[in-house]
Amino acid sequence: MKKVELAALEELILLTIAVLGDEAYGLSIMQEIERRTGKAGSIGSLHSALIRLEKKGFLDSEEGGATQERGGRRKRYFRLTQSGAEAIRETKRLREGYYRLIPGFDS
Amino acid sequence: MRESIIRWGLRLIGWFCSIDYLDMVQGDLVELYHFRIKKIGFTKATIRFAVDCFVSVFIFFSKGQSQYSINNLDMFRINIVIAYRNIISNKLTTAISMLGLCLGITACLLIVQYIHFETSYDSYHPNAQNIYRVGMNLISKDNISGSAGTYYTLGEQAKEKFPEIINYFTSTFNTATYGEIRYGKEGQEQISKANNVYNVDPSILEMFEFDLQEGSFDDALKGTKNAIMTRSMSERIFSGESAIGKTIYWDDAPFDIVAVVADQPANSHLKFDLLLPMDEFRQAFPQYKENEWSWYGYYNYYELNENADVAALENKFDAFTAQFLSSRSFRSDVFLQKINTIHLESDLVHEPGTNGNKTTVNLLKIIALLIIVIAYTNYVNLTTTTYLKRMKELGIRKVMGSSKRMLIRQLLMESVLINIGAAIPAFILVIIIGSHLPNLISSFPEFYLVGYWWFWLTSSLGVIGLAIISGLYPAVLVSSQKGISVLKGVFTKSAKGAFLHKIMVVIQFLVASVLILFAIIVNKQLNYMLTQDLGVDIEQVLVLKAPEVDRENGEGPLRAFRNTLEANPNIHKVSYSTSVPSQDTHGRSMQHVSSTNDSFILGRLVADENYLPLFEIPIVAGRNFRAPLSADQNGIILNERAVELLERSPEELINQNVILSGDTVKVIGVMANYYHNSVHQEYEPLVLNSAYLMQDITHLSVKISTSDISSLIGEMDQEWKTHFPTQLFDFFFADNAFDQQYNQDRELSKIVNVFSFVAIFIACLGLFAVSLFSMMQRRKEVGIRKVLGTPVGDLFWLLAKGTMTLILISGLVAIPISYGISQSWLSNFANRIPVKVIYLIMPIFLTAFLSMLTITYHIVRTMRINPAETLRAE
Repeated sequence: MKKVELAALEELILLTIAVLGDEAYGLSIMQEIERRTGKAGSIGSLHSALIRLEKKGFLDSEEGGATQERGGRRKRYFRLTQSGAEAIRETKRLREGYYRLIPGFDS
Repeated sequence: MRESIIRWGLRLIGWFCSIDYLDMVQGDLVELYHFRIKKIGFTKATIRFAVDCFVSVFIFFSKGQSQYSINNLDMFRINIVIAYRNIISNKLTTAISMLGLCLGITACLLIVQYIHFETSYDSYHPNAQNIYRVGMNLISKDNISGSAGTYYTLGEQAKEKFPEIINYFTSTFNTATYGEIRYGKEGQEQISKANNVYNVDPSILEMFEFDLQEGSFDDALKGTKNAIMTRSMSERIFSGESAIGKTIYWDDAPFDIVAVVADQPANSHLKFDLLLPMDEFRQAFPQYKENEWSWYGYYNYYELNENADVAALENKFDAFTAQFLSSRSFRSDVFLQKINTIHLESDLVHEPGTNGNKTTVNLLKIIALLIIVIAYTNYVNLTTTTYLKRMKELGIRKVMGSSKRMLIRQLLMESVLINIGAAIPAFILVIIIGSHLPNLISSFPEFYLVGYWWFWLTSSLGVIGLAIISGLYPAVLVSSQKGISVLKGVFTKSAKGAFLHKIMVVIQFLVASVLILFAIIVNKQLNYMLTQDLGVDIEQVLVLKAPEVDRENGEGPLRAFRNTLEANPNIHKVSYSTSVPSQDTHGRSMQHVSSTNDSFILGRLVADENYLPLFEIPIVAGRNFRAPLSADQNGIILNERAVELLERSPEELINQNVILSGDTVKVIGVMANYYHNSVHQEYEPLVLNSAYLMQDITHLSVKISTSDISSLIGEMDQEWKTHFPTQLFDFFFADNAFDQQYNQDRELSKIVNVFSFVAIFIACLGLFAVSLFSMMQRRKEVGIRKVLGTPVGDLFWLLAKGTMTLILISGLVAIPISYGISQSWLSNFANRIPVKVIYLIMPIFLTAFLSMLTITYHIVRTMRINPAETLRAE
């Protein structure tokens, strides 16, 4: 299998999209990450990462409804693809492997 | 405002984001904006929105997700890469052109800062546009003398008389004392020197800008005791303690410090350590009150109505002064000087400080411009020649379909890159040199423009603008070459192009020659002034600040002190006077008793019988003062210039009466002319009064006859302490003080030296690189000539001829220009050197020599190549 390499932000994004399910679009992803980590990243880097992840094939997107608040611009909803889901599972396995090796680490 | 920020932000995103994701990015940004408005308010949300937009654009751009990444951006990136490779492969020429630019920009920015400083004097006062200083021309028979000091009446009375004057203040330099501030208990008081103490009206606080640091201005300068002190003076006297409420003594009068202000900015013409109330001065010196229209030691400042007609007001003063001065034999013509022009434009007697020189500022403006011209001509020349080497690359680009515009764009970008590469080290150099330059040339201020954003903005924009302008000519020139000939590597140099090339070399060396000649003239003139015979011997003369003594019976202690000094075997002579060469004299009017003519103004000093012998000023007719001086209390000694103005011969005048400022006095002697002040001016008329009561004596000159000066000063200090235990022992050397009058000329000479060196250096740099290329082009020719047996000398001359002709032409063209400049500069001096032919020719030889040196390297290298190597090619 192709080696999966995910940056920290990318992993967080993939996880958040998985959690949000049908409601995952730019701003909601950002706010969810902010709520969980307490850190506010810039929307620009999020967009950039989303585009990158889609190009890598981890994400799939489709355009949704426009609202007044967005000045009539459509939202773009993201969904994990098969390989995206595989990627987060792979990183989870990788990490758990490590956690198990740390003595006295309660996982 | 808010709307337009949003609109522009989204538009910016639109330019860079790829179309597929545009809705997502813009939509999210807008939604986030609306969300933030609820949370943190409109303003903050807008700011965050703007920041987000920039960050997004930056990220898309750097991650290659911009919509331009496919096409234009790649081109852009490739252009940068190619520019970089070209710079690397032409290390020598790039380095030379960058060095030239860097030096040029550095020199220019330093001069810009100097000019900014010199022209910014006093403009920090918020109302500077409407504040004027009063000056007057004292017009007498064939003598006009402009004075910054005016009559007291031109303050108060003028304000009442003329409605245009909405506010005024009068001030005067407090010279009545010996420059010491005393603080503390009797006996153990602390003495500090203060050089600039003024008595002023409280309205100065309304007209001038002050930075109040302690205390308050409410009562400041009101009454006779409320003084204002500067921060540095207060630090020195009270060392950290608050000065407010403390009592200090100045000239034995007590003053309370009610306010401490920050030191005056360096660009202020009126600098002070201590401000005392004007009322105190008026009370302490009632004698000045008796005739308000005779003593002109006051500085009057007006604040005029915004739409006052200054010229009309000046005219109104004629009638105003005439009613008081009609009996006077000289006229006082009042004029007004805008306060921010005083530093550069005013050159009057009794100026409160040393003023700047407009000529220097103008000269520097020209020099800055010339240096920029040289540096950029250099750059244009070098770039054109480097492109010759790249003809193949450019040809291929053309064949592959590059349009002329694309080529120009590419070359311009390289030009901008090289210029930025030169400007960044130049900026750093400016900061480094700028902070050290005041040590070398003291009139250059510390580099303060470093903190001004507009300075960096305009400099950067200027650099980029000049980069585009200077890059345009070479770029257009090469890009309009025919593709096919270019591909062959043949640069069809048009006759016009070659001519332009030569013109540029001529311009560079023309500028350099002019600067060199000017530097020679300035140095020669300075040298001439320094070695001029002054007619007075100021070597080995130590001048002590005379002790402060009681007005009535001060004679005793002064005589006693002089006697002890004269008893010292290392001291040749001692003299008391109110002035010594290089120090100010007091203006008086003079007229012959039988004369119906106007009187003239001359400088007056009071001296004892030792003054003339000590300074070795010869007596031309009559005699010197004789001890006891009381016998000579009505006698005066004139100098030859004064005698000339009286239209008599020296012998005739002896024992005749003249009128000196209203008093009838007798001429007992005539002394030879000498330069009491610098040789910038002609001999001034002087009159010596005898110091029979030793009143108002300010200087004590000591002629010494020993080489061990420091131990002698120690001995004198001891004597001083026993005679005047509470006073400060302060001295200077007469020749040093005299010498300091040439500081401004010295500075100018340094400035011109430095910058003419920079100019010739840059010009030679350019010549070095240009000759490298011209030699490369002539390799084959040299090879053939060598094979055919041309002698080395002939070959050398053949190669050097072209350049040397250009240098010669530029030198010849430079002669009339630099002659004109030198003449107009020299006309400022009464004693000036003639512009000799040798000075005019010297720059030609110098530039010719330097350029010969520069090109010889390449010529010799080209001549040494084995002809087989160059002829083998093709």
